[in-house]
Amino acid sequence: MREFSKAELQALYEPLPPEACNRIQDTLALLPLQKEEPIMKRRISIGLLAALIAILGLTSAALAGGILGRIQINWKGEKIIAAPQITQAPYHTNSPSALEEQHQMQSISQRIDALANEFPSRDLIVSTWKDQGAATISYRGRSMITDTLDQFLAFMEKAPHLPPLHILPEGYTFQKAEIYLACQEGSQYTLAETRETEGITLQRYTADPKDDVITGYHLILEKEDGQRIMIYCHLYTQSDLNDLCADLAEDSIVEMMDAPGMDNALRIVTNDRAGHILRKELDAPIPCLNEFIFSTEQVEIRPTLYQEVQFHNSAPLEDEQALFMLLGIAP
Amino acid sequence: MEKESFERMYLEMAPGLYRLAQSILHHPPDAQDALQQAAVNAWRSLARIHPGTERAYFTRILINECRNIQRRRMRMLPMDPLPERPARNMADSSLKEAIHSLPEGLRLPFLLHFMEGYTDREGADAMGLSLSAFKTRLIRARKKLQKILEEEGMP
Repeated sequence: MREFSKAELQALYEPLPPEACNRIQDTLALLPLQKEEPIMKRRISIGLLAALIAILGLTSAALAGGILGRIQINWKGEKIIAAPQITQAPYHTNSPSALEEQHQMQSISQRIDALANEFPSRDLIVSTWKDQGAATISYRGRSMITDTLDQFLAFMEKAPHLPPLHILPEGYTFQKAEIYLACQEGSQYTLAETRETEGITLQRYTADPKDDVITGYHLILEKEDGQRIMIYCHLYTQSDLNDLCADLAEDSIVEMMDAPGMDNALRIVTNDRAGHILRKELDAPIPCLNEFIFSTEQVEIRPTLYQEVQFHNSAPLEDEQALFMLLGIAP
Repeated sequence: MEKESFERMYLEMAPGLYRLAQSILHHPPDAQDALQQAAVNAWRSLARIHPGTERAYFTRILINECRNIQRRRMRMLPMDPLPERPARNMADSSLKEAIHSLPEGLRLPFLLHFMEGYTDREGADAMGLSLSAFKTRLIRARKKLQKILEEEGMP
């Protein structure tokens, strides 16, 4: 086999852009000011991008039609870069070995899901398995699912850091909500059980409910005709106000929106759906245990400092006003 | 270590770390995120770093951060398979395709050693492997890559 030079291999990858170095320097410069909890200027990328796709209800149709494009926008609603098209293609390859490996990954993922679902959703499930001799990890975070509005509202009373919901829009009924949980800093997760099956090791961690911190929720309201309003509310560590990526159809409308009480707000309209992305800095940062790092053979659960709340909401275009009413932010 | 020294050292290593992050995430913006968060995490745990092992330690933190980003992707859009590898893009070089068709457990040792010049010890520490396991993977990676390149008609 021929030898490869470092330069030949290094040329296969994009060089580090100077602005990325600048961002690192900016971040490091802030560290002493933040003591043990430094600020990170984070690019909102694939995670929010994915949420946005889900919010707008575009995924299936858009991917089928191949119309999605990675568009970088900012909180002013300006489209900054139309980067190379993102379609299903980058995530697939045609080689038989790659397809087989992909199939194996999906199979493992499904098995883990099935195994994890045997445990209460309130418990943290950490799954590890060996892939080519290396340990690979995934986890299912803690959550509670409720299908009654009263129960949901009762939970929300325990989350004064999240902006409250106001009026249930006319014509919509409460469908279900998933409430995401972490543990407050200073508490601990307790390893309650380890189970090994089919090459997968599952560890179940429990936490004392009195230590719960609600870090967000996903709420679904539905009309008789099946149309849905979806509210995604999540705490975030820190966002970069200048970077927000989204996969949108080219003809999507993106514009700034006035949303009293919020620090930033965007309105996005695609086809027959309206989406709102809203962010607001928390009055006081919330430290939680909700970050999982895998090192060699053990899982380390680290503290996270949440500093802002974001909403990613969507509704049928004709019911967009309901989104404002729900959050009590009618412009 | 003073912050200035840490910053200088991290930024010197950043181009190589960025290439490694790209090889895991296949998405430059995410790779930049990983690089940035890894800097923060490395600074936080600076006291644990032994002099002379900085590169391996930073790499390990970076790999962990890449895993976090992969998990977030999985969590946020479960209906879409986790992007493990890039598409076969005609614009990409066949060599890159071949390298990326290696499983990650083999791809990373190969890139750490041949692209970034890590010693076996450094690579093993960066991946949390024993020295012998890292060496074994290097051999397997080379063999597998050779086979792939031969199949592609690239000697």
